[in-house]
Amino acid sequence: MHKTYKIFILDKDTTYMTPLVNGLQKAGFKVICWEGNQKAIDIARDVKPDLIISEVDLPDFDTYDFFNEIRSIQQYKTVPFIFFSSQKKVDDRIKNIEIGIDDYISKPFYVEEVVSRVKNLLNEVSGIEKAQGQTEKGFSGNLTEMNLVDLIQTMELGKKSAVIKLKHQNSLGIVCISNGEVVDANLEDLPPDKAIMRMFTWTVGAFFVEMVSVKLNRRIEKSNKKLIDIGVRRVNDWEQIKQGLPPLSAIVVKTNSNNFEQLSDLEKELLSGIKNKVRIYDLIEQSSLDDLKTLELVRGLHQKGYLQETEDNYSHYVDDYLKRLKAQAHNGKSPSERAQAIVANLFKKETSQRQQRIPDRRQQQDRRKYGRRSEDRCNRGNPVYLTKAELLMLREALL
Amino acid sequence: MKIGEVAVISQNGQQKDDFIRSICRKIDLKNERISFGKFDANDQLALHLYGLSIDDQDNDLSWDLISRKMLGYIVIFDWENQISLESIKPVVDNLSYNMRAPFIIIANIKEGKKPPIPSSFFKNKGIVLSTDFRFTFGQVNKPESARKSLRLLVDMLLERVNNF
Repeated sequence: MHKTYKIFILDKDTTYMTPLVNGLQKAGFKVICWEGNQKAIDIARDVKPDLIISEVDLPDFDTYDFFNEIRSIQQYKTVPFIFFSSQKKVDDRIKNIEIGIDDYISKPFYVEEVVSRVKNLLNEVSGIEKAQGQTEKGFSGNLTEMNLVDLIQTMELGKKSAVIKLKHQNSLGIVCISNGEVVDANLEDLPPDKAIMRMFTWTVGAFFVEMVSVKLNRRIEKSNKKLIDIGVRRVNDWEQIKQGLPPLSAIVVKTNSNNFEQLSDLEKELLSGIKNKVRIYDLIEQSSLDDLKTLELVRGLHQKGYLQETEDNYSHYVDDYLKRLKAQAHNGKSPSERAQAIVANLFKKETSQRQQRIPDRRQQQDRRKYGRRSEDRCNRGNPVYLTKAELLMLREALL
Repeated sequence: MKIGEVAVISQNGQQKDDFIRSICRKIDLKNERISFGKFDANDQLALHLYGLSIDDQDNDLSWDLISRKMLGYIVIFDWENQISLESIKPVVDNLSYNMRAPFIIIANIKEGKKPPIPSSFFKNKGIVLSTDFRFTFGQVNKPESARKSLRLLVDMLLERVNNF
């Protein structure tokens, strides 16, 4: 039976409250609103909420005190907390995230967006709780460090039986393994083969492995070797195609171009299905075509100028930054170290490429034999040919 | 007269031109991909800025030639545009792997929008990512902001001279 989550809302602004309460109730949540006639902390204790939403600027009420008081109660240490505010300054948002707020929503907002963020936070918390509960009979981790191909290989090696749960964006997928062989996969309404193909491309998210005996009829006919071959190829192709695109969380929109002559039938079909703004992720998931094929088509349409990013992507970019900030908020680093880590992360990939490009001994021998390569020529230049006095003069002129 | 040379690189041709205009007041020469401006520090010393645009289709800059004379590089991308960030990554990779000159990466932000990282995190040195490059937010069409970024580059050169 599904648990009914309780949401506790502190806000007196009925303009926003009424539609939000309706939206949350419609989504299956039990909503309790604070009217201000009792101490909020007493109500919170009585209600035992699973998530709290609060306006930051309430008259005669210190929201930050309330937040600290809630967090000091052992039972509510992990209850997600969302702040609402009309303040739009990014600094304020950062400040709130830094004190440990789980999410921050600016007014005005779309009810659907708040409902979706509430669901995500509750999923996140229940995922962590589940993972904690499963540590004795399994293990969990991050898909960036270990993707589905790695997990299948690990299970195959020890001929283990397990249920692997993968969480990516708002989707939850399941792969069943019996004696090291993949026997079934579930993801939404997709057939097992298509479900596992989609999960191969998930390189961001979490996994939980439950070591249990699996007695299921085999619904995936391909051998592990074949699946792993396909999986590795798909991950490589996926990453390669992604290079030419904005982040898959970006929102794209159709441009006004009416010249469809240079488009293939599949491109035309995909384009005709886009009515409004859409996230690239959603576009791929909604398409009846293979995910990889759809991604390739999206890239083609984007490069030919039929799809373009919308202005909305700025907020996603900042949200992404705030998420990273939140993830690093309590790891003991100073704010400037955190900022540095986040920015360094923007350029991370190139560092790893650089490491790969260190020539091996044989290449170095070849280089000695055939002469220096162009990059060596680059290194011959670049002395700082201005003196210290000249540089200081230049600096002064730039003040 | 002694001349120092700096390359200003951006995906969007407009950004490099804006930066050069902010420093030099005007662009002296310009063609499809390259622009040029002069900044006279005094009657004995000048800085020449070469604006280079990169584009996805034709990333064929002659780095070995460019690198021979450059004191350093300014790389600009549009903070609000992920494609712009992706497009400068190969340049950053090339500069940090193949070149010895220092460079500054400027995340260009639009007027009226605050950078997501509070300025108190930067102090005056930008975010130091390695001995070769620093990251900063800026508005390349604002002379004050552009000069501040260029000063960061000069500071890095001074550090090198001091350590030599």
